[in-house]
Amino acid sequence: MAINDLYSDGITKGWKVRDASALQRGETLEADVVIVGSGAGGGTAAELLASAGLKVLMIEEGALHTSQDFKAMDEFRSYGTLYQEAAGRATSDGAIPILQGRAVGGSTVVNWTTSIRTPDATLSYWSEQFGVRDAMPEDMAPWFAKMEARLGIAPWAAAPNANNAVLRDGCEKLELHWKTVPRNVRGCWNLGYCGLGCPVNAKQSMLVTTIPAALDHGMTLLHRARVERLRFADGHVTGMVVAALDAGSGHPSGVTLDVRARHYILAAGAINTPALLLRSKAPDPQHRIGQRSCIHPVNVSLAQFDKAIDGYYGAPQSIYSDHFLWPADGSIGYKLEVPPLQPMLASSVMGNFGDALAADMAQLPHAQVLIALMRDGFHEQSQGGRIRIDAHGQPVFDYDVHDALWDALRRAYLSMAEIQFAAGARVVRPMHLDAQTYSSWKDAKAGIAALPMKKQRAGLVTAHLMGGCAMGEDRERCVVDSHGRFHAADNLSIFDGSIFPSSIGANPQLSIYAFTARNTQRLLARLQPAAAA
Amino acid sequence: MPADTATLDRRGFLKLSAGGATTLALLGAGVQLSGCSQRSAAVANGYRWLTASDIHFMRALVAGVAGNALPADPTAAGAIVDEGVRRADIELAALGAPAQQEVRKLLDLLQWTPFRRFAGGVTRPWAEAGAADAQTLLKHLHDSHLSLLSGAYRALAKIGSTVLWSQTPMNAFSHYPGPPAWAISALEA
Ligand SMILES: Cc1cc2nc3c(=O)[nH]c(=O)nc-3n(C[C@H](O)[C@H](O)[C@H](O)COP(=O)(O)OP(=O)(O)OC[C@H]3O[C@@H](n4cnc5c(N)ncnc54)[C@H](O)[C@@H]3O)c2cc1C
Ligand code: SF4
Repeated sequence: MAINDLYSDGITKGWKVRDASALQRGETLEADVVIVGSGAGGGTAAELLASAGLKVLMIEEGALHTSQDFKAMDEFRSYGTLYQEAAGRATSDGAIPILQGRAVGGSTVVNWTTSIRTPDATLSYWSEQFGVRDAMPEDMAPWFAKMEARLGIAPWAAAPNANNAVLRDGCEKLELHWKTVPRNVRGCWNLGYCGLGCPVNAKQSMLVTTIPAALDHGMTLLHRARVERLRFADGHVTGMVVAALDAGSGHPSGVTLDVRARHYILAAGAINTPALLLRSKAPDPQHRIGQRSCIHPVNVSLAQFDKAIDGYYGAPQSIYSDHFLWPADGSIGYKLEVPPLQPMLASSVMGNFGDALAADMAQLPHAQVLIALMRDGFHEQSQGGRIRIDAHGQPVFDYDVHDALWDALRRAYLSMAEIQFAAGARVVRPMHLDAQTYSSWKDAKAGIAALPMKKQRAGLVTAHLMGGCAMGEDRERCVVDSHGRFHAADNLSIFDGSIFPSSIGANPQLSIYAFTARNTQRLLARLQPAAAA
Repeated sequence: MPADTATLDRRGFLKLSAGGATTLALLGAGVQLSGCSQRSAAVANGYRWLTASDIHFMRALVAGVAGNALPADPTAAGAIVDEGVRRADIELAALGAPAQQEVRKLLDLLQWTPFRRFAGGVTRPWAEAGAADAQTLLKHLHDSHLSLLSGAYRALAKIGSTVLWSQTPMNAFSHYPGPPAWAISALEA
């Protein structure tokens, strides 16, 4: 059953899709609205603006890869072509690897399809602490519902794979909360390769939903084109400079474009959006750009089961537990989930080498992994990290881990091991350089209590980048207003994961879709007062 | 190599390392002074980022990370190691410039005799070294609680494992059956 390649069909019927690597000379491009980045934020905004009749230009630094390219389900190829820095991005000290997408469709092309609303407590926190307006649970509910309907989001109806079933079964045994994950899929084949790009267009990423819809409405998509700089003058963006990228090396080809629009939307994702603003010397009187960058720091626990788990197959995330997410004593909480376990990703989290790694890898079909996502940015010690730029304008991300976060990470190691043993694990090993392989919950408890909680020793990772351009009415602390409009320029908005003033406490995509839909509606009313009336 | 940098002994090295995050820069400066930096060395023929002398190290690293998972047949094992080095080159070439600079410093350090010897415990130069030497290095780095060395360990273990375990021939060892055959044939149909 051949999968219809939306883009070859679309281009045949007249979609305006341009590959900047093919450009021989510079040009000036004009539009009503230009959108930088084609991920969760950019894609959502594009459909709404283009279908309202505006002339939209979307600029994406990554390349266009479609279902045809994902058929091989090959890890090395997908991590190399669809991720920022070929999946080698990390914090400045190298201690926290960062998974982030870089392709038409952004991180939504490679994400694991978990689609959870922003928790009520998070919305209340933003409103109270940052003066975010009109974003309480009752304000946001219709926007979540709208995007859930648009992207086919519903609780996963099939049985969880064995990797996820361990989380459910362990929680059941210990009487902990667990729930079925809602996923953004239509006609999912339950393959398990979401992180490598869905080969059957079942995942409702921006690549196969909003971007095609916007192209149907006449949007122009320019890919392999990196926005280098915005020009600011008198509280206004007057244009942007775009570098075409060479198809082979990914470096600028030497061709630059000049782009002008009535309104500019940045949706380059957390890290790259703040870096672009810093590079452009955007007005920032309080030095808030790049601050409060949160990541849901993740730690990992590996178990071996006697039975086969085959964690490389089946919907990667279908069960989660929020039992430990909001501790009553105000300490930092965490969400529990599982990752997919194809061998390249699995080997990279094991943290060992030589015969020991070989022995672990020989057991891959029996491996089961839990991950815990820390809710950073709420606790008083937890201010998130900071994005800065180097002398050449490239992003550098400093993220420190403080005591309250280490405390949460240790508790998470304990919770994960206890759940794994409760579900029948033979052995458990926290992914920490000083941890042993424990064969009982009692040993694990004692071992984890003694682990030195230090960077590099504890294996950390993130795929959730949030913040760096916090929203809110408090101009001392926030970069954009409650609707994503840049405080210091009237024709600039930020519609991506960088607007969140703390982490979310849930996987980010649905929060980004809903906030972007809401904020785009507001923007449309400004750009087209007649049409909105 | 000038004598003053070559005499940095293990104790001196550890004292220097205890300084923390700035130390890689400091040691990097030592490498520069000693004239051992590859920063200006040419990229090896057929590669995107690695220099000829990096490749000696990378071969040892990939074989060391593989351990007994490599097939017994030397030709098959050699092909996996070669492909691993090629993949490492692709990964490193795709890093952003700030990360590339850090990796450059690390690779230079590893090829700087005092560091290789005292921090890594490896007596032979990488051109003559093999899997066992890389494992000695990795063990030294792993067992050190200096964040510089733990960080170096993390970086090397990650490069080694991803370039190796992403290769199809390794599936025989991991028992990973590969993408579901029924789906592949349905997609080709
Ligand atoms: C492996 C993985 C698994 C995940 N799983 C889930 C999940 O299950 N559920 C969930 O909710 N979230 C998940 N996420 C996170 C989620 O996908 C992201 O939070 C979300 O897509 C971020 O949206 P965004 O618009 O902020 O940025 P992105 O979606 O990252 O899009 C930003 C785009 O901008 C482009 N860009 C950057 N800089 C420039 C520039 N200067 N010029 C032009 N273009 C530029 C980038 O190439 C990228 O394509 C996952 C992420 C990853 C990487
Ligand atoms: S699990 Fe479903 S959504 Fe994910 S890649 Fe497979 S078919 Fe696509």
